[in-house]
Amino acid sequence: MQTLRPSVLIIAMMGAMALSACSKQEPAVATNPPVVQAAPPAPAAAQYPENVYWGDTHVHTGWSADAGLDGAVTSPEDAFRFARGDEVKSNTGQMAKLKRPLDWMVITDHSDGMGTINEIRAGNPEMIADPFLKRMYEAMSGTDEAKSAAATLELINLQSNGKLPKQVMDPKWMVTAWEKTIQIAEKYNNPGKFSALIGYEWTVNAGGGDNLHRNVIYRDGADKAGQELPLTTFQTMDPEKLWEWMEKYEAKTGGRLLAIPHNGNLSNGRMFEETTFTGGPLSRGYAEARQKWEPLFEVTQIKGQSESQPSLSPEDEFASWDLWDRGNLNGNAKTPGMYRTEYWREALKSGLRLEAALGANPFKYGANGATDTHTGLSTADDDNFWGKFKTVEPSPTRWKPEIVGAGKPGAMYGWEQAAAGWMGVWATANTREALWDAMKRKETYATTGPRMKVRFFGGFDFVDGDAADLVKAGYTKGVPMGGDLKIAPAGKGPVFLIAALKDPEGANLDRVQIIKGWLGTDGQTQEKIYDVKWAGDRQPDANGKLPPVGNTVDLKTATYVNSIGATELVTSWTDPDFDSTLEAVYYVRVLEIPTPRWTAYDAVRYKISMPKNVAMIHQERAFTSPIWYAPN
Amino acid sequence: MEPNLRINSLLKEPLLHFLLIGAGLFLLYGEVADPSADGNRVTVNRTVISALATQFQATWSRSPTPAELNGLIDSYVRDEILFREGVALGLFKDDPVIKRRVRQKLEVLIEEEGRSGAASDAELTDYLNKNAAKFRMPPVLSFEQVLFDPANYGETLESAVTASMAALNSGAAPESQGKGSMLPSRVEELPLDLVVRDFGDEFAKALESAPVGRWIGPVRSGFGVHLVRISGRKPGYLPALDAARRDVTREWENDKREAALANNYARLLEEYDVVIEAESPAAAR
Repeated sequence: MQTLRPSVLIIAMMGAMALSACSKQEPAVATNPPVVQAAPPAPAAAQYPENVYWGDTHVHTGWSADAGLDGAVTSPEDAFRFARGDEVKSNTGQMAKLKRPLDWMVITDHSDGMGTINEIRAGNPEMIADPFLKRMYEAMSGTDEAKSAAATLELINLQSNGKLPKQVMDPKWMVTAWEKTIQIAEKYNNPGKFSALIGYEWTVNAGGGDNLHRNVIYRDGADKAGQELPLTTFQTMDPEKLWEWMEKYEAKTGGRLLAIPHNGNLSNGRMFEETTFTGGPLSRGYAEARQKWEPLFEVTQIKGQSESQPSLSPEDEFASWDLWDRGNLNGNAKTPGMYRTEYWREALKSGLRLEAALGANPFKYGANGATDTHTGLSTADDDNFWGKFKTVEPSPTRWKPEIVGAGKPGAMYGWEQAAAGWMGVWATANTREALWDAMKRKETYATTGPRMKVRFFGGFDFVDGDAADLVKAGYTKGVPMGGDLKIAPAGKGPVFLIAALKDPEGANLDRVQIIKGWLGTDGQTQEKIYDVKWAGDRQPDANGKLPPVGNTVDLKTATYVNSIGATELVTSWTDPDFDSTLEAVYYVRVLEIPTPRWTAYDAVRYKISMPKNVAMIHQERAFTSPIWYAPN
Repeated sequence: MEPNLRINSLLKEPLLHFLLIGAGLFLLYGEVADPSADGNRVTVNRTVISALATQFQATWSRSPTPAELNGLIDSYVRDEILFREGVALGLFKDDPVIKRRVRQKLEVLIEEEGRSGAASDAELTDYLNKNAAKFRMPPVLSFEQVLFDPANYGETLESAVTASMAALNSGAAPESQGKGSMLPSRVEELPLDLVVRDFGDEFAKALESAPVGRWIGPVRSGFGVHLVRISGRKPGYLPALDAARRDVTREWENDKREAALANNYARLLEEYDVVIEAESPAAAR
């Protein structure tokens, strides 16, 4: 390095600037600050939410360490362009485009090692001084996908066990990436048309891969979000500390934050454990803080659903879907009893019991659906599914490899990825503020991908005919999804107005159900599922079970026809088992008619066959945030 | 393997200015801030400590306690020592990693160069006109509609639609026809892209060219068939620059960024003789 060649100069200069970022928090390259123009004024907000807005709260780009390591090169810029409907080049060089744009999106790259991956990919000497990072670099620069995937798994494993190399944890690498992330969100935020929300993922893998991840979502723009650095798990892994950090952020900036936990199914019993993170007893303060900071829970995503588990809901014939229930994020096997504190439905019930004991409900979670893609491409359509990682982007063999927990009891295979999900938000306008406010009040529902329109209201004063003008009646005489019903007037029970309209480009609907959980006088929680409206003239059998809707899927062509099912299902429903003295929680499940799963589209597209155990047909679905009834 | 960059051509470019600024900063930084460039000594001076404390403050909105600060300093010292040991082992030498590092940094520089200076109004207007499809505002539609879901009618669908068409033509309100639905009977001033979003592609396409002021149908959609009367249609148009400045600027910058990378690489490639001797099919160009 004796001659002062330009390339050498560049290295020297960039190194200097990265270091200076440590104290000055300047972007690494600041000679030409972009002209960020003020966003156009927000459109006028409606009186009550008339539109549902579709989006994803959980998107990783190549800037996330594990995604970048696996070969993802998409930037936040690519991710926003893709979500708003532009064609972008995928990580494998294929052109990718959504058939229908999303209305909003949050990019949630991991705060742990934010920006680090670029340094590793580029071979920063400080980074590759560590033998593991050196292996990562080699995996990333090579073309051997198996090696690359193996290194990703190793990264997750090391992070889970708190053994990540020191270099990755140095916050000085983070500053630039966070500032750039914010700046890009500002650029693509277009109120009324496409909302680009700011966020990050706080990725706690406790005790070797017990998934306690949270996505932190900002209501704010760059002026506030840029005032503080995201919290990393190198600083703390305790969710109570996260809430403390959120409170500090709000106090300092005047901004607003909420957090969405995900993948209870991979937490090995820890997501809804009935102790604090450090093993102490739950308290009213804990319950109130959790309820305040975490209004929503992600019930469905590519790594499986955390809504229901068949062994917890033996009466529910639809509880078994997209299950990733064999281990944690590292494939460490589960022990009996873990399911009870992993799934949303059970947590909603346990919350009632804990509320009675603590005076506040720690698990008062509405419904969120998101993808958790690590490709920068938010896709939840089965006929246009781009996979979890770069190595499982569309290809004839992507269904084969172990993608999580390789070689362990809880290993999961490519074909087990779920092409899911998205969230519908009933907001008064398509703006960061209106969308965030709706998430905060839980006026949301999760779907596995289809964009069906679902309404759900509860109240004591609805009368016959209110279902005909359901929206007005719902808002003026009751509460929407996510709301609370207080003590019932004497002699009255709650009435629920429910409406579901199929996705305009999607499959017909099979049925609409109410899932009810309650706390019995014996202190035990219960659940019951009611079919409240269904397609066709099916009659329930002697046990009250409704016959299946049928199946039109043709696996030779990966097609279905809407010759069965209904366009919309609208009804009002009164709880026949209502007891005004018992705490209860109600949510709606909407089921579509059977349609081809993404594996079936792959089989036709690539003219391949997969083993018999690979699921090819499924019933896509939506889950609303609950309405709670509390007699006290 | 000496790179064959043309220094002369680089000299003519804004890239050089960037390099000089960077070199200047580097030297300046070395003067004022280098805490530890000497042999086996790790110096933790005030600059370092205040940087560590600032970092902590940026996350927690408070200063670190003495114990926390000591922890940060320990960690800094460990980083320094391991980093220097790594360098001493020669891990930076002859490593493909360096190549990647330089490549990325050069690409960042090229991207930034591509972004140099704001576009003039003339450039943006030209870009707007050349990429009109990207910026066209969609038509805005007002309409009334009645849905007939085949599942509700079966064999009687056709006669029901015919009867409703007659009623509507005699002045009946759309709300009085069909069997009601979650779809609105009256839609005011909805841009075509949102008509697609709510009613589907097939329906929106049919409305794009349908006559205004009279009931038409049946119009098909994913929900069934509709009778529709368009009450107003504002045509789509290409906005003036001032109305679309933010979008146009963003797209222009993005194109610049991508083009700068591609052009620069293409130009550099021309200056090299690339000889691929392997016979592997992957080497085919």
